[in-house]
Amino acid sequence: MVLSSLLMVSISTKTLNDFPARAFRAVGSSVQEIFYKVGSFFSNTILSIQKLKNLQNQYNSLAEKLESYYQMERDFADTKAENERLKEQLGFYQTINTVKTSAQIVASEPGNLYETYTINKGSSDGVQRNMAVVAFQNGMEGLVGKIISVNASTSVVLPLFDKRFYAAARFSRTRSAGLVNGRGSFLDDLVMEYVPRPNASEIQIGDLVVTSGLDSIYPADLAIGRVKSIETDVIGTAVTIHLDPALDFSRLEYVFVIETQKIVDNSNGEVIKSEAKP
Amino acid sequence: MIKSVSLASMLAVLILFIQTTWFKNGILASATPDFTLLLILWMSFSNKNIEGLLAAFVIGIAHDFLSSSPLGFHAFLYVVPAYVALLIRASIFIDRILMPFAAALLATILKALLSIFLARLFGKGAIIAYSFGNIRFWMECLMNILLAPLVFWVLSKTGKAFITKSHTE
Repeated sequence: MVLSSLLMVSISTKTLNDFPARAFRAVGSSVQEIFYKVGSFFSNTILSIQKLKNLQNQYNSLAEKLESYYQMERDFADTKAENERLKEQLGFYQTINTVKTSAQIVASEPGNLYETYTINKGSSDGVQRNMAVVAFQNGMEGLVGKIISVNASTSVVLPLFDKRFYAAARFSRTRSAGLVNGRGSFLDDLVMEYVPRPNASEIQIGDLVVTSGLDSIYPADLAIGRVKSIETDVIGTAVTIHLDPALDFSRLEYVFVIETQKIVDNSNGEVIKSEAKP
Repeated sequence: MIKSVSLASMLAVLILFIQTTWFKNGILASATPDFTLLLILWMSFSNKNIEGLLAAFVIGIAHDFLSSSPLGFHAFLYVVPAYVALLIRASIFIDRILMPFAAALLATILKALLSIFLARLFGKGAIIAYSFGNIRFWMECLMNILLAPLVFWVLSKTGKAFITKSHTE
């Protein structure tokens, strides 16, 4: 049995997508969805009274916020028009529009080593392997991870805090580039490596790190995290940056899968390139 | 034998489903206890033959199917502690507190060492190993230790179906 375990590991490290595993995962994820719904029903019923009180408070505060957003919307329209004019002058006439499908997280990994989320959208909803997954929290669009496995009605997401996750990233303010890697738990820091040492002096605690789009999996400018600490090696030519994740993964329920990327000619709205993500 | 292994495997799969859905954010420091490891240990101690070993293999494979780990990874992590438990079962007395504590501690550490061994063997790109410097591992260890006496007691009262009668001492 030890030998057959080792044999299986050696086979499956070459390819994870063998048929029995996929079949079991397809059935398993459906059962997980049922378990999730049963658990949600009970927890939602218990929490509904508290939620009603919270809703009243939220309604009051939102009504106040709405007034200020009206003002911001007017400012935004002015800024957008100004931005369009400036883009035209600079010759940037292409923008990237992304079409997304929403999904709910129904399960995670059973153990403490590997980290994945199972979402309730699969190939029948147009989800494909290597699509980027994002979420909105506190008014910010943050990167959750990417799709690594797809079944008919569910998919498996590799979150950015998993040790196998890598994404090309850059600092939103200074535009210095690097590579972000997870550390195994959503409570752990993310690590940004290969940031050139000369650029380290410009980096400040709290700086926002976003996707650079250079890896052609994740669209550019999705929030990844904020600088928590800077680790400088005396000998090395690069610095290591520790990041606080932009998203609170313990509260994550709904995510968006980025389905396609369309490059639109702004001058007449015509689609000049439309590509499904690999 | 087949009946006890099948029933234990079904219980383990049920536990895994509950862990993945109701405790998906973990319990302590985002870590969850390894109930299946405790079940496997109890089966190895309680059965005279290789029921615990077989259950460890089947449960490990089921764990791998529900996880993104390579197929066989958890099977290996569970089979070796089950085999060690099988080897030493005749020479130890399983009391209510101390032995479950010790068994859970040693099995969790052994599991971590085995994951490190596999990561060395197949490469860190393919295998994720436990880290003794990570608080998450020690939280799992702590929960396994604390829950072991309870799990062993509950199984000793209710888990007669997981013991093959002809080989029971």
